[in-house]
Amino acid sequence: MIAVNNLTKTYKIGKETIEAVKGVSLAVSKAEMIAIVGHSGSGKTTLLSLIGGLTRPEHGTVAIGGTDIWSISDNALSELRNKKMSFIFQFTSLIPTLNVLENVLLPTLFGKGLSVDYAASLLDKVGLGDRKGSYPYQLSGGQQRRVAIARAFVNDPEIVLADEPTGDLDEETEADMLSLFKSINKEKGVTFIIVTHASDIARQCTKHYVMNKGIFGEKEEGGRLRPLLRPPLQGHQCP
Amino acid sequence: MNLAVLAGKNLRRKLFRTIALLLSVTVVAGTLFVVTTIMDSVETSLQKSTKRLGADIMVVPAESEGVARMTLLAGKPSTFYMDKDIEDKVAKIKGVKKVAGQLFIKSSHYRCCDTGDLFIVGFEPDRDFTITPWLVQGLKKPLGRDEAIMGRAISAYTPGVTAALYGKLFSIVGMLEQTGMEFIDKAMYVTIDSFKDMVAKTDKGDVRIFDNLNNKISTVLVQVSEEYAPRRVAIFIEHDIPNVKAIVSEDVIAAVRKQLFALLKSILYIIGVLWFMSVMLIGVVFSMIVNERQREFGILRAVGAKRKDIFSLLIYEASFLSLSGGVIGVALGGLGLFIFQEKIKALLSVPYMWPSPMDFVVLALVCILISLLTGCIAALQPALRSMRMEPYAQIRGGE
Amino acid sequence: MKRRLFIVALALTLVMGGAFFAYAAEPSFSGIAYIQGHGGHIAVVDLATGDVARYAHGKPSDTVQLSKDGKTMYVFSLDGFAKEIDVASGKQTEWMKLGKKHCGSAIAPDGMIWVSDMDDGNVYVYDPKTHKLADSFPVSKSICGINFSKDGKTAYISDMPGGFVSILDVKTKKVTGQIKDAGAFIHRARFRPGTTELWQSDGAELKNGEPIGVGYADSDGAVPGAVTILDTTSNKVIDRVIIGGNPHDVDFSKDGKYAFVSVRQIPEQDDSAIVVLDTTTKRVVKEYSACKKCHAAMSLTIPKTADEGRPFLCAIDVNWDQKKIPASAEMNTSGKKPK
Ligand SMILES: Nc1ncnc2c1ncn2[C@@H]1O[C@H](COP(=O)(O)OP(=O)(O)OP(=O)(O)O)[C@@H](O)[C@H]1O
Ligand SMILES: [Mg+2]
Repeated sequence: MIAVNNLTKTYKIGKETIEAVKGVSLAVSKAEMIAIVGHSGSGKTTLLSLIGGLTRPEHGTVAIGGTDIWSISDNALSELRNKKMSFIFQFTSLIPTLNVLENVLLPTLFGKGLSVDYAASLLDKVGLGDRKGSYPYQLSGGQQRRVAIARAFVNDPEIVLADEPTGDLDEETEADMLSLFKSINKEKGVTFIIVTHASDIARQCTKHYVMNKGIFGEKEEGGRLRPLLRPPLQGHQCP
Repeated sequence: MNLAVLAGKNLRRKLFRTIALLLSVTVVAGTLFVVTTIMDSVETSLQKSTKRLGADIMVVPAESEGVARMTLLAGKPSTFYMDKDIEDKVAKIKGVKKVAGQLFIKSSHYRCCDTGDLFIVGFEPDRDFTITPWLVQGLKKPLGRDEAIMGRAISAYTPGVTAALYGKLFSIVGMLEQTGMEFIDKAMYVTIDSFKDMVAKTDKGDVRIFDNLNNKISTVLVQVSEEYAPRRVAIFIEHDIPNVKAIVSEDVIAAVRKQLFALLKSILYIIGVLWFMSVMLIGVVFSMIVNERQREFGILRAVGAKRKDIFSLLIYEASFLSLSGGVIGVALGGLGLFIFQEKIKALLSVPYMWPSPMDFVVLALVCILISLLTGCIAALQPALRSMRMEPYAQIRGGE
Repeated sequence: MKRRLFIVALALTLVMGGAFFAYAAEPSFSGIAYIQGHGGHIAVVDLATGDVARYAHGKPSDTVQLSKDGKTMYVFSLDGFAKEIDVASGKQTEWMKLGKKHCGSAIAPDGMIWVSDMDDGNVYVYDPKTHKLADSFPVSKSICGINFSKDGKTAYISDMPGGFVSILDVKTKKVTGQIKDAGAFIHRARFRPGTTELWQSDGAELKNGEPIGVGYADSDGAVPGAVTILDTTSNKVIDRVIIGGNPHDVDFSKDGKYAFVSVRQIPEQDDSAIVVLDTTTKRVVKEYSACKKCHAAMSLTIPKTADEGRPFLCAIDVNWDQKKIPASAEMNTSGKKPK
């Protein structure tokens, strides 16, 4: 499904060169659900963006379902993103002018149109069925995150690239989301790559990898993760 | 939902900014529409005046040149006289193809039932080439001595009605097309011969209204043969016939056009500057908008927007804005023109008329199109920039 | 640069040589020259004594035309008006609108006066009998000199910046041909009596093909002031006499032996003058001050706004049968010493 080979991405800030991703290779099969963990600034977001074709690597290739994403046109790549992939971003990613339902329907603007009913059912699943008409600024951070999660499934993707999808959710909601992911993963055979600090999620994934300063390493299945990796919960989100 | 809806929502989000930009386009479109409409009106009305006159040259008494020009341009009826034999003299001048004499009088309530305050033009139906072609319906036979043709603005007299002038009865047999020139629209046309009857009738009365009007003429209208320029023939006429002025209609029109258009052109320059400023304004604002919305574009790209979608989104926004600005501007301009039309007429002192509906529509469309272009040009650079950026950079840039 | 120096040197040599020659063997003449000026007056020069007087008429003008009998001056102004001045009495008619910007004039075979217009390129025909405009017809763009062939059938009208001469059929008033490369910047011209040689006052107003303004003979790269002689039999330039300054018109002695060239901005002098050429040797033999002599005697100064404060003359017309400056002319310099 996803074949990443020797990916390298560097940034230049002034004279300094930051190697955000260094020679990462990775193969993910269909319906796999893998987790990536690592310290802040270790290159996880960059790696996801590279896989999703949002940024171009200096070296290495990314193949999705056998196609090298940088060998096809930009339009085809956009289409690929629209039809086969979806992103759950680490930060808020809703369009402020659109209400919840419209935000969920956003991908359908550029491609296949799944029904409003389907979008509504997804909102039900993330527990926001009654907030369809609300605007992002009227939602809490966690609610916004859940809208973004609902959106990620509206285009019936084959691959979901999730960057700390439960970053600002309480443990209970986090568990709900995780079970949602799992059920979708099971029912539709959707492939997940999840960047997370939450050990629960990491544990439930088929594989998990550790990133350290751009370098990628596999951790043995079922191995314990140091709780240190979990960021301290803030304020009201504490259980 | 589609891109256009998204664009609309974006515009509504920053309502104040949208309205400010829209107003700048409104001002440009409105003034542009007003000025071009006036220019078109002036041009149409000038052209119609000359065409309506049908003559290349108008020969008048030398001392009446100023009054005659006013008559021609502002449509102010006036009377002046010269000897009738001038008509034959003019006919003999090199380059003259056709001549037609006209005699002007103003009617008065000479007898109890006379029609007063009419401008009466006496003409020679057999020689005429300036009046009869403009009849709404052609006459079945040449105009008789007891018959008259009416200008369009005299609504009280329609064909079939009888009018009395200085005790003589005329039956109205025809009507002229509307010209917008007061002295044509508000005039009554009779044969020069019928003047003799009127003179005879007044002679019998106690007041002699006309002194020797029998051998007088007010103007000789001249059509010039193709191989001569009207200007040159006018020189010939003035050279050979003493005390006459040969007014070249082209020159009158050209002079007025030059004068009016000089004024209007300077306004056009100002509009040009305004236009440039609104392009700059919209450009700068869009540039700013684009910067603060990079993340949004990045997200759109991530969910499958193509480059051209981002480009279209911004161009849609700019076009909506400038299009509605343009439409509002044209509408307001049109309204202003409508409300102040009398003032404008008076100010320009030409027989001002609305342009033809076709011209009107074309002008409106052109102004709206220019408004539309305003937005598109202004948004072009920001749109291209946003379109070319890498989605990840956009997403991060918005952080 | 070298060329320019050469030309200036040549011009100076010619003028100085001419002056020397004039000193050595100066011919004497008898006649009265009428010279139109930009100051709104006509200078009248006694060619026997060099005395100068004037007729003031008020409008900056380029051309003046003496009637055949020498009794009337016809003035055509730079703003397109015409005026008649009676030589004996000095009486003037009102200004009458003719064209736009008049440059040259000539009496046509039928007695009418053809006046060129350098603004619209038309000839305006003035009827001296009726004192009215009689006709107007287009020739080229910016016309100046007008001359009629001896048989009166052909007219030669020069286009100033165009440097060509249009040939017209006098009867039909239509342009029938064009003599190209007839000069650089042709002002007025005149046929040398008894010949088909058209002596044209030429040049000094073009630099690299562009007009450089009035009267700059010595500007870098400018065409020097000259008389360009065009033979109307072959329609070719046969000679070019460099004079310097900015020649504006030519008249001839009755026998055609001497040419009287009115020249603006005589080199090294802040004056306009009549430069006399021997038509066989083509050398300068004499020079008359046309402006400064009178201006100095009258302590007249030219406002700095007009032609940068320098005296500019233009057309010249000599009456050889007149022996004295007419009494009606004012400010006669005879008997007055320059102040
Ligand atoms: N556009 C950029 N310009 C310069 N440096 C960048 C850019 N994007 C990322 N980096 C650098 O690349 C490195 C990896 O960044 P990235 O966002 O991938 O880390 P991350 O593992 O997702 O961290 P976190 O867990 O905090 O989200 C960081 O050091 C970051 O500063
Ligand atoms: Mg990250």
